[in-house]
Amino acid sequence: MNKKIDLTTDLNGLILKNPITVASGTFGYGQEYSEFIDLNRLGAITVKGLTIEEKNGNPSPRMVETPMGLINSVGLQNPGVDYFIENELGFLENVEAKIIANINGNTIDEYLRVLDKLNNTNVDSIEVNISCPNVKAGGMAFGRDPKMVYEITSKVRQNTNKHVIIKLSPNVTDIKEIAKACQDGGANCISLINTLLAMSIDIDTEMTHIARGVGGLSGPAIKPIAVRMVNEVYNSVDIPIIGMGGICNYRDAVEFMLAGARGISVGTANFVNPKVTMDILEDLEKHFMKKEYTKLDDIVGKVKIPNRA
Amino acid sequence: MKVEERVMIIDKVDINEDVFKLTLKKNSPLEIKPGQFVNIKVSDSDYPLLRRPISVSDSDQDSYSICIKKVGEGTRLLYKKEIGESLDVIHPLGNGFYLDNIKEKALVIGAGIGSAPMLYLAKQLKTKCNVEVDVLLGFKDKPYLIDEFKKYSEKVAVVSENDGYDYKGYVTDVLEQILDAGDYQEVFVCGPKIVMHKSIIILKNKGINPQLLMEEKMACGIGACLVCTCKINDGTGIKFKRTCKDGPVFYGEEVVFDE
Repeated sequence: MNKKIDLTTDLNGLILKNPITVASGTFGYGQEYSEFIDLNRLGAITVKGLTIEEKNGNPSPRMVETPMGLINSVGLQNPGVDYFIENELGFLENVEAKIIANINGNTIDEYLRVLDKLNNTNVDSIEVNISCPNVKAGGMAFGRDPKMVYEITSKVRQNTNKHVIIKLSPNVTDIKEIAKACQDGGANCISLINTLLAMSIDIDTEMTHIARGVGGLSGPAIKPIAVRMVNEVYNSVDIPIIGMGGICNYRDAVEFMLAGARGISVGTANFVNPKVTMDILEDLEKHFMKKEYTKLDDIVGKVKIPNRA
Repeated sequence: MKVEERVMIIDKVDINEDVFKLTLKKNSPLEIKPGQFVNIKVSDSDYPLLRRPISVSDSDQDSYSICIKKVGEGTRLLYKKEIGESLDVIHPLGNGFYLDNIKEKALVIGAGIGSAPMLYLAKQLKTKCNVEVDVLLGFKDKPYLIDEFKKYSEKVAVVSENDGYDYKGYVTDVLEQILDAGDYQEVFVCGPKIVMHKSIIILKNKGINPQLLMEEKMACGIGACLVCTCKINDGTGIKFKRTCKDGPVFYGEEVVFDE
């Protein structure tokens, strides 16, 4: 008997029709991929990160392929939040997928200024990228210090009624305490992982491939680290998780969900296969049918560890 | 209109020990402009991960060709493909050369593997724009594609670092005298960055603003990820434009080459 499968994804203040989202920085503002897939079928689109002013980004080269991944150092190039609202948001509003606006800043004040502009729009959720350097703290990323994470989360929480997601950096000693700071600060939801700091060197020129030296590693190579971190966070907080890091197919998505993610985000894989999100959605349904699951609760966080230390 | 699909390899030719040509069958009438490229999955697995972007070197009703230089793992894997196999491609990508207002005699400059996409350009200039096409090609070692260019041009000048060709040295060594001998307003350039940079300087001194076919490492290839940017100054300040979508053709006056 074919039981009906309900992929409705409750992210604690934001409901998606399915758990498939796309990751910030990999999908622009949606228009490019609309030529390849029906955007209406996505659960949510996380837009390219927004800053208060237009940002040019880093000099080239900005990318190098590495085994099963790539390192990028785009440097948050974006037209600024005002341009986004005036010129890009309209297209997204005509799409059924929920709109998650990713926000960035070099000071808490900058984040709040971007937030203030978005409060007057129809975006469905705010994703706070805390991997930005805090220039008032010597340039250390916000997301590395639980106290800074608590401060930025609670300031964002106080200044918006919208759904708030904090996107975690994996470049930390203990992701559990970062996650707890997000929950304590009032976040609705946590997304992880962002990219891992990495470097690649050309031995002929004896220079780093990337102009800025260090960049962020993404792709299948980071998946095992991301899955582990999602599981750690799942065991530390009660708020829902959007898991990401190298998801290329439905099996990867299921892994993240077993580890504790309720939603998942696909990034790098879109470059390889522009239709990958649709493949994952269809194959996820088939997997649920095969396992006789009918809803996300049947799978989220259900991983068993045979002989935990 | 871009599409991702599988296309069949209907011909494979060795051009020299480093360069080979694949001809791919179009599944439907697909208009490809000179200067456009295709983004190819080089293996059926996820290793290497990213597609490889290759310029189109010829196109007609039923098929198109790409010339590939074996420079690394991805391009070497492509060489292992045989006639009858299919490739997963996203095509056609990029803006292509601006050919709507070409009325004057054109000079097409290609250096190394950069010559390949210029062959399709020469063909279109001659057969569609109906202009006279002069060609200047430069190669490190043994030149290639010369006979193909001669189908569209009566003046093909070949520069090589070896003896035995029209000129010895680099394309940029002879560019000035070539420009003085002709009266070109339409100039197109593709080659290593240093060739393009030097060429722009020479051309600017002659009051010519060429169209350049640029190249950058790419990830998405469709304009979403912003890794392939080309530094531009269009008069309103420095901007980073997407080589895969706003380019790969840019006007020489706009492109900023870092020292």
